[in-house]
Amino acid sequence: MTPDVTPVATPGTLASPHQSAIETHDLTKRFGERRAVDALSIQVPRGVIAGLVGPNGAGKTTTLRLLLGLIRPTGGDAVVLGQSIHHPRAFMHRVGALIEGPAFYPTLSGRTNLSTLATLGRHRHADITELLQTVGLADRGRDMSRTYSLGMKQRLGIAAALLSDPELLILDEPANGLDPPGIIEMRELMRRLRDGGKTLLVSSHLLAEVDQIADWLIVLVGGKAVYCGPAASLPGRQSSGMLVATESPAQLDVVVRIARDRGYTAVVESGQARIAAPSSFAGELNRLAMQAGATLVELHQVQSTLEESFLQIIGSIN
Amino acid sequence: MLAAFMAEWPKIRRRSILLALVAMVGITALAVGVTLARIHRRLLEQQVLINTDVGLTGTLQPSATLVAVIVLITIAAVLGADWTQGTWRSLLVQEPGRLRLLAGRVLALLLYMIISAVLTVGLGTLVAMVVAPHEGVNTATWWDSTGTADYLAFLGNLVLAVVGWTIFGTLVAVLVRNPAGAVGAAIAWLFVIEGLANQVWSTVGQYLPGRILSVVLTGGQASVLSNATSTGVPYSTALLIAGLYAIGMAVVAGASFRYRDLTA
Repeated sequence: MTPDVTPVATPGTLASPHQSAIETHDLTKRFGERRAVDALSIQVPRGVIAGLVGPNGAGKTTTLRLLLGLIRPTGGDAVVLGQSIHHPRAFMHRVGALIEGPAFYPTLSGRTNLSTLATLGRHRHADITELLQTVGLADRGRDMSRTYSLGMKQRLGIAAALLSDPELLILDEPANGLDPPGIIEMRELMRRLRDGGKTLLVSSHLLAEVDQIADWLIVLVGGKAVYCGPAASLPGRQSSGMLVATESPAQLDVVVRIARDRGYTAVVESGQARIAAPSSFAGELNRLAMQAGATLVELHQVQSTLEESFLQIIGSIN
Repeated sequence: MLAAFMAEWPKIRRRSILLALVAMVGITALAVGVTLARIHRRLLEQQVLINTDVGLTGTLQPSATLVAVIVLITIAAVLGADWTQGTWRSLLVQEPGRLRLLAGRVLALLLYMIISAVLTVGLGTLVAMVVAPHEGVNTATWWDSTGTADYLAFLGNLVLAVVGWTIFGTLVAVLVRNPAGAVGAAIAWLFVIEGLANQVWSTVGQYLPGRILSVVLTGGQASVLSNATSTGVPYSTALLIAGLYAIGMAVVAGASFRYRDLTA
């Protein structure tokens, strides 16, 4: 079934290729008969945090693996930092990645694991101490990585991804296993990196987390992109409605009646009227309420969460 | 490739890999000690041979075969584990040149195995030199010009066999992609498939990789001291076939590693 959610951005429409960190064109990956990634055409501009979301089996990790050259596409092409994914050596030195969970040698220390990766990637060993500090592992760097908790391994994975001081960071479920303070630190780190000019492509099933950090969104369903564009422009996010509070409950009934008379859905929730109407109705509502003797003490627009929008998109497809 | 080679050394210092060296040294010291300690209870032919210029190499030969098996198992296990641990993907993010990565790693492991094998033979020699006089064995002939040449040839053949076993182990690991599976497959190939092939159709069986590498290892002269069975393949032929096997296995391993998807 063809989704009725039109992608806001298609490759080449918002930014020219050299401005994009990532562009895919009909990228396809089949495993036997199953299309894990199906003619995927997306774009990630430079300097943003792009969230890659989708239900389980949507093709998120397969897409990331394709972009990193770990698996080969069955069809289509992709360009990462201006280079085709068929030649990963041309761009991988500018990319850092944490893909499908951190993988380290369990009997080597965190520091030695980073050191071997730094040698392999020809990166500066001097940065390792600073990186361990950045991810909060300074005091555990000399312990064997098998003694680390999942959250600590995740932090080490982030440090490994940052070894090359990359232009593009591809992170697969970076908040996995992190405790709440760790998630907050990770969020702040990602924002700092974005503010420093880096591009981040973050795959996550934690929609609330993506909602807080992503400037750009890619929604995958069944290996296809059903949305790719600015996070704020995700369908259903702008027109969620408004919340209105009045001086008294009786006035609230008046407001609800006005909204319903204009054809909008309105309900009273927790002493406020929730009206499903576009922002353009706010002025008219205020004027009509005043004419009817109701004083609005609060009127603010409500944007639906990513979770709500996501469910709306999935619902429209199904 | 140099970066992959250099990056491998801290990993080689892991206990699991150092264990290979300990196993090699332990088994060799034991085998040499047992061979010499029981020399008076052996066949007369063996008792005579131990006092000749090939006495030392004949004593070391059985343990060299075990060293070769340890090399195969270690390589298959070490490289195979990178799939189950998922570490290949971490490595490939840093070095996306797959052939460079594999070649650099295998060369480092090969060098470690050669050093270990030579060190093991050196220690085995030391044990032999200490034990032999107590058993009334004349070691003077071991180090005459012929004996020394035999010893150096033995070392050279051991190094060649280690190269062959390392490539064989790499191929098995790359194809099986799992340490236990790779070790199992390698052992099954050597002791079951080659064994059966040799029993059923020895004309072909003697040309299989394991048998050919054994010929290279023994220099085509299986010693009566080692109780090894000789094949009808001359050393020079074995060397040529081993070279072809090594190239073939390296090409297949390289192609498989380069072109197969990394889903682990």
